[in-house]
Amino acid sequence: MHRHIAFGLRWDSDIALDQFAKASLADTLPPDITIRRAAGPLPDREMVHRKDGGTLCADGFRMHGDDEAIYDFRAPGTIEWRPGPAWQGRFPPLFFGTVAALVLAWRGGVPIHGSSVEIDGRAWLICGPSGAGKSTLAATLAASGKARLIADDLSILQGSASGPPTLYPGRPAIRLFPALAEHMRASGAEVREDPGNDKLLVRPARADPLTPVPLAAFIILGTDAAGIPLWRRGAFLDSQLFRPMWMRAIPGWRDRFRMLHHAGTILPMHSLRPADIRNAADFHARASQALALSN
Amino acid sequence: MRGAECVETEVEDALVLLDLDGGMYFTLNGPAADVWRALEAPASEDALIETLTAKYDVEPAKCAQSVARLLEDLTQKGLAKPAA
Repeated sequence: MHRHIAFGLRWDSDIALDQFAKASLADTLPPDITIRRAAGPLPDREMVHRKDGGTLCADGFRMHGDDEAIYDFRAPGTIEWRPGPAWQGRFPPLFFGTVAALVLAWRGGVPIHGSSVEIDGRAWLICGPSGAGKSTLAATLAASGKARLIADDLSILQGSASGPPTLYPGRPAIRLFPALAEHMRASGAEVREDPGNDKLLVRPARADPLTPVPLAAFIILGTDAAGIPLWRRGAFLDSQLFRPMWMRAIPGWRDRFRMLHHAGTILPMHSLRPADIRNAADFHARASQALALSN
Repeated sequence: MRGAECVETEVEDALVLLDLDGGMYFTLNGPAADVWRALEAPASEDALIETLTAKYDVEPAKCAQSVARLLEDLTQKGLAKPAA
């Protein structure tokens, strides 16, 4: 059994989860999520909704977005999987993105399509459309030495009884274009090839995997946050959800919306101009701007 | 009583509601916002009038008229409904 820590949960799996961080051997607490290969064909389940790439069930979901594997999640924490015709011997990105996001939403988290970093013990969540430079900004902030990565691409907000939501570190690697990846290597980050992808996997300095970090502010790329009135911020953040169609179907969407609305009205929302995401020098300027906002 | 589940935002002296089912925004001014807040639990029309006349300098008869009109308006928009 392989144990990993991601998004504040312990994931025990019969195959290694190479995009999640390994847990320390001293960690003997019970797992939150148990992942095992099904002994035979997956049993029929009561379907509630057929969605893009999968099916919502009364007690979880079945995801078959690609031909590599099928995942059967049952709340609160069991995933059974079966290899598909294109199985490559390890879980594909679908598992670490969509499947993880759906599991976390089912358990009360709010999955956001955004990257997050920790600066002085507080979290900054970077939102914006694909290609706006979320990962690049997170990477350059981490390379500055003043920030540590919380999560790239998929960030999970957890409600707190009072005050802002918190985030736990997610995937420890960022996908970056080669020029910036080389720049990150020079700043001491570990860089690896990602087979079948023209980007490289970079592991920058990282926040402690089991410590929740309270959210301090949003950084919005590609939209002028000053133009979003306070009362529309909840709806704006709702539009930044990871796999939004699924998020509306999974039980508890009202609670997730309330959390986003609350966070949007109590926390500052800053904008930075979009930029050429391959231009590392420009992003240094952007990182400096973002750090200035955090002071 | 309330007829819809909403999230609220205070904006200066008004309250903006987003109806989570209908997806529509509504703005309530001061007294109307007071009525909405009072409707968190089912309340009689008399109790609403009492709340408003205690807070605002207004004739009870005129207040009753305004409350009746507001409740009609809120009911039509699905934000309020008669208690069962």
